[in-house]
Amino acid sequence: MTTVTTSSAVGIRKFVQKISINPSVVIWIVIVLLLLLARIVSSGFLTPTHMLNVARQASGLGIVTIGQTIVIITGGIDLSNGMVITLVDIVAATILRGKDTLLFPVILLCLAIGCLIGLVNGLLITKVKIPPLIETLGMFGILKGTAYVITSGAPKGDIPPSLNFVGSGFIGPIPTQVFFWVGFTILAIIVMHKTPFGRYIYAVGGNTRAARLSGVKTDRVVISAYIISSVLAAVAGLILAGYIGTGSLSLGEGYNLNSVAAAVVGGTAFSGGSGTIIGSTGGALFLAILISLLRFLGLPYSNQLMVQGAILAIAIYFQSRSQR
Amino acid sequence: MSNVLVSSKTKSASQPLKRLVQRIRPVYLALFLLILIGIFTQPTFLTLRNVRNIILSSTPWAIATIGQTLALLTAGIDLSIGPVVSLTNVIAAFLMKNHPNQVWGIVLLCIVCGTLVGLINGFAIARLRLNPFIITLATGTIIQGVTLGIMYQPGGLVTEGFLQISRAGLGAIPYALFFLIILYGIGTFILKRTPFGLSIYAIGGNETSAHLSGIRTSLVIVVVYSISGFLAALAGLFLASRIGSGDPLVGDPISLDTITAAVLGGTSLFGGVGDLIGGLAGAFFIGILSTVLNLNNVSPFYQWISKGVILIAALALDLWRQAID
Repeated sequence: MTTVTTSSAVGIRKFVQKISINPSVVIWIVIVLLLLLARIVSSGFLTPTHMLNVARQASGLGIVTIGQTIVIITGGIDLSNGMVITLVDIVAATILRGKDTLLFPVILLCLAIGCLIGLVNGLLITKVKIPPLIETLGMFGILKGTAYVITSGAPKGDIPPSLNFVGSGFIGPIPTQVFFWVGFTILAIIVMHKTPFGRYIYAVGGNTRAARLSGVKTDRVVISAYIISSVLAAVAGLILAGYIGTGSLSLGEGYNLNSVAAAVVGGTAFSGGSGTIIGSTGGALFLAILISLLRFLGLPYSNQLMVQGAILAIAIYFQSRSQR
Repeated sequence: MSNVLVSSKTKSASQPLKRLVQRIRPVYLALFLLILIGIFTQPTFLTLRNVRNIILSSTPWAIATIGQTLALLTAGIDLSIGPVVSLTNVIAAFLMKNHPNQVWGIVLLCIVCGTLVGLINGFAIARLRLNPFIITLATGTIIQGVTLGIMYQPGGLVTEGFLQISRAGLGAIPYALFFLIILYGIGTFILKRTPFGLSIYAIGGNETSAHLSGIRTSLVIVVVYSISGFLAALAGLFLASRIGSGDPLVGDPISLDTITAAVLGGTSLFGGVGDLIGGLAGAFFIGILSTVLNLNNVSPFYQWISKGVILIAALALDLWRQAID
C-alpha cells in the first residue's frame, strides 16, 4: 500500500514539474489565473459578448505572432511586421476607396507586397548577412516613410463592405477574425510539427552550422520564415483594415514589439531553436486579455503601459528560471 | 619577383577605392559627403547660425549614443534610453514650472532617476540573466507609462536660467560643443586605457572567458547600464533646456536613433567591437541629415526612408569591408 502511495506521489510531483518547466503550458495556466483575477476585479469583463470581443482583438496580434514565432525560432527577429500591417491598410484604402470592385486584385496585391517585403528581408539577412535586428529595423523605417509618402501624411479612402465583414462581422456568434486566427494557428502547428520544413526551422535555429552540414538549405529556410512572417502580417493588415474601415497611419503600431513579447512570454527563446505555436498563441491571447482588461478597468494609457512593461518583465523572469 | 609584377598589373581599377574604404571608416566618408551635399545644395549651410543649430540639435543624440555604444559593446542593448530621455525632460519641465527656485535639486532628481533605471536594467541583465532586449524594452515601457502619467501632452516650463544652459557659449561657439568634446575625451580614455574599459570589450567578446579571467562581469555590466541611464538623463535635461518645455514623446525616436548612430560608427551588435568616436560621427550624421533634408524642403516622411536605407547600407558596407580583409 505504501509503495503505491509513494509512486503515485512521485508521479504527481513529476507531472507538476513537467508542467512548470514547459513554458508553453505555463502561459495557458497564467491566462486562467488572469481570467480569475479579472472575475474578481470586475464582473462585467467576463461576459460572453465581451470575451468574444477580446478574441477579435487578439486575432490580429495572434496571426502576426505566428510569423514572429517562426522567425524567432530561426534565431532572428522581425520588427517590420507592424509596418506591413499599416502599409497594407493604406494601399487597400487608397486603391479601393470604399468599393468592392477591385477587391480580389487588391487582396492579391497586398499579399504580394507582404511576400516581397519578406523576400527582401530574408535576402538581406542571409546573403548580405545583415543582423536581423538592424535589417528589420531599417525596413521598418523604409516602410513607414513609404506609407507617409503614399498618403502625404493624410490617409484617404475607405475599406469596402466585404473586407469590413471579415474585420467586424460574425459567423454565428463568433467574430470572423477568430476563424482566420484559429485556421492559421492549426495550419502553423501542422507545418511546424508534421512537415520537414518545420523541423528545418527548428534545426536552423538550434544550430545553423550543423543544419547546413546535414544538408539543410539554411538560407532558403530562413528566407521562407521571413516571407511567412510578412505575408501573415499582410493578412492581419487586411483583417485589421476591415475592422477599422479606413486608412490609418498608426494601425500597425505596437504590433512589432507586442508580437515579440507574445512569442517570448509564450516560451520562445531569443536564442532560437525552441518555442511552440501553441505557446505563442497563448502569449498573444494573454497580452490581448491583459490590454483589454486594463482598458476595461478605465486605467489611463499611461498606467496600461506601466502594467504591460511590468508583466513583460515578470514573464521573462519566470521564463528564464524555467529554462535553467 | 615577376609574379609580383604580374599580379600587381592585373589588379582591378577599384583597388584604390577599396583601400580608401578600408583605411577610413565609412561613417566618416559618409559624413564628409553629407556635409558636401549640404554645402552645395544650400548656401546657408555654412552660416554660423546653421552650424550652431546642427551642433545643438545633435547634442542630445550624441550624449545618449555613448550609453548605447557601451551597452552594445557588452553584447547588450538599451531600449530604455528613449523613454528615460522623455522622463527626465518631462520631470524637469513639470517641476521647474512650480518650483523655479529649486533648479539644481530638480536636475539632481532627474539624474538620479535616469541612473536608477540603468541600475535596475544592469542588475536584471547581469544578476538575473535576463535578455537585454526584452528587459530594457520592459523597463522602457514602464518608464514611458510613468512619463505619460506625469504629463499627457507637452507642457511645463523651464526657468529662464535653465534655458540659457543650452544657448550659452564662448562667443558663437556653444558650450555644448566643449562639453561633448570633454565627455567623449574622457569616455574614450576610460574605454581604451583603463581596466574597466578593457573589461567592457572583453565581456562583449566572450563573457564567460572574461568572467573566468577574473573580470567582475556583473559589476561592469551594472555600471555600463547605469552610465547609459545617467547619460540619457543628461540628454533629456539638455532637450528641456533647448525646447523650454516638456514633451512626453520627445525621446521616442532616440532609442532606435542611438542604435543607428552606434552601428553606423562601427560598433558591432554582437559586442566587443567599436568605439565612441564612431558613434559621435553617427549621431552627427543623423542630425545633419535631418538638417540637410529640411533645408532642401524634402518632406519629413522621406527621412524615415532615408534613415532605414542608410542603416542597412551602413551595415552592408561594414560587412563588405570585413570580407575584403
